[in-house]
Amino acid sequence: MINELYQQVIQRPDMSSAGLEVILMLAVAYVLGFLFCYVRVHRDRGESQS
Amino acid sequence: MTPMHPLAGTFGSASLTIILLLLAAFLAGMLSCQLLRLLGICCRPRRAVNTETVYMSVEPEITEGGPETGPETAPRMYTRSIYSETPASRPRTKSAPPSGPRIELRKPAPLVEAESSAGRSSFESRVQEMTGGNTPVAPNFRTELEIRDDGQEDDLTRLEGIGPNTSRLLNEAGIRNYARLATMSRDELRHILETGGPQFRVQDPKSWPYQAELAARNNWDRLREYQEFLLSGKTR
Repeated sequence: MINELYQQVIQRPDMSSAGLEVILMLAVAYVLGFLFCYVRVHRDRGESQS
Repeated sequence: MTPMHPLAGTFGSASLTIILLLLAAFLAGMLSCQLLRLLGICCRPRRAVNTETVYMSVEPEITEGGPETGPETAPRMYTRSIYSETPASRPRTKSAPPSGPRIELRKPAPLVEAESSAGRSSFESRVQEMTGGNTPVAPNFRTELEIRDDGQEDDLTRLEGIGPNTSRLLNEAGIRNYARLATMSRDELRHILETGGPQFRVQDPKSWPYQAELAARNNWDRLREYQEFLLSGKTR
């Protein structure tokens, strides 16, 4: 499904040259999601210890 | 100079799709974090070391009599009494020390409560008060004391700490037998002693009700052990 969405994006006339940028944005979003979960877990740990 | 496309620099009509892709990537990052955490590879919070002491849960055995009865099987609880046994009041003998964990049936009644109970003479009401009304009185125990509490006079001087003068003072206060004395609280006895004169104020009636209870139940062996314990505690 994600691949289909990606193909839809980069096949548009105004986004034909934005493939790399989109991939970078997705990578950043992935890292942000990972860090969000990571920080939340460690914050809960700190609260449980205090 | 080439004219710029009107949608250059923007995502144009693909904005919604881009947002969906970013959201999916964000959720994918969270999901991977959760998976790695569940697998124990990373993101696993270190659990605090549980320093709380864990005691083995044992089911106490309620037995009749004191530490001299029955085989030595730990743990055990002694006979329920209207006066709770404390480690200080428990008889300690070299021949048969109580084994197993020390278990108290309940906390001793606060001394303040005894003030409000002045005037109550019924043994049953006294027991109900000290047990909070939840513990029924053993029928045989109650009947035995009721039979003994028929106005007869007992020799109170057989109890440790009660001499002839103190016995006379207690008799004047209406305490003429063991069953009656067993129903008295420490504060009530202390009040009687204080009203008797300065020579009685130095006495400590803390153990008298329990001694009287044992005497009223004709448990003389246990009473002797308890009195030996009291005397050994005084001479230390």
